[in-house]
Amino acid sequence: VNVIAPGLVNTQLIGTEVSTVDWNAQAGQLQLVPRAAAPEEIVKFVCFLLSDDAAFITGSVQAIDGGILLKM
Amino acid sequence: VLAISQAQGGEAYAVVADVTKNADNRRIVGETLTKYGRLDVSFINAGTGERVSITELDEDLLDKLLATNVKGVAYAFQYQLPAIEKSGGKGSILVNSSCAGSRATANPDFRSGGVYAASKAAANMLAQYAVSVCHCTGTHLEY
Repeated sequence: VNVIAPGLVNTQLIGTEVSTVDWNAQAGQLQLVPRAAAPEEIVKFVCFLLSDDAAFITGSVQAIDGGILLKM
Repeated sequence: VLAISQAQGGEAYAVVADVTKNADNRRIVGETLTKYGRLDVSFINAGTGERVSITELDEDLLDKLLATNVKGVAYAFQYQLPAIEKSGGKGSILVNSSCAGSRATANPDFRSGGVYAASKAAANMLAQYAVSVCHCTGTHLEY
């Protein structure tokens, strides 16, 4: 059992429901990596954590946030 | 998800459910076991991201946020952990939380995110205690 802790991700949800917000501009202010993540960048990590290759990782909260925690 | 999976040559089976309902979480796992006979991996992904200041709480909004982000995760573990155990105990569960659940901040950009952050912090704790439960009860969940 593990947890992922993403930052800003450019999903259809934020694209449609909050379309007035420029998420890449937001990310530039909040994160070290100045853009929102593509969903595919999260998916690759999800697949790894659910795979046998991640067998030694358990009980962890994995940041995948473009460095947002370092600027909070 | 069903269409994407099938377009890539995979097999998929969809269950329409409301994760805030205990019975629906039981049904998701039950139908999976009926269809495939076992549960190996789970991505607990459903969540909602309403932003509301603590001083302007709306009861319905708060209930929706906590029901999806906290109760939904708790109910998922309730049925998925035993299902993986019955499948041989070699499985993996991953919760989609948020960086907001890892640390509080005084950054004004996050001032309406306190309740959301609290719900994600709760999801993190549920996941880590799920690991603990596996080990304490002898469930041989490998990872």
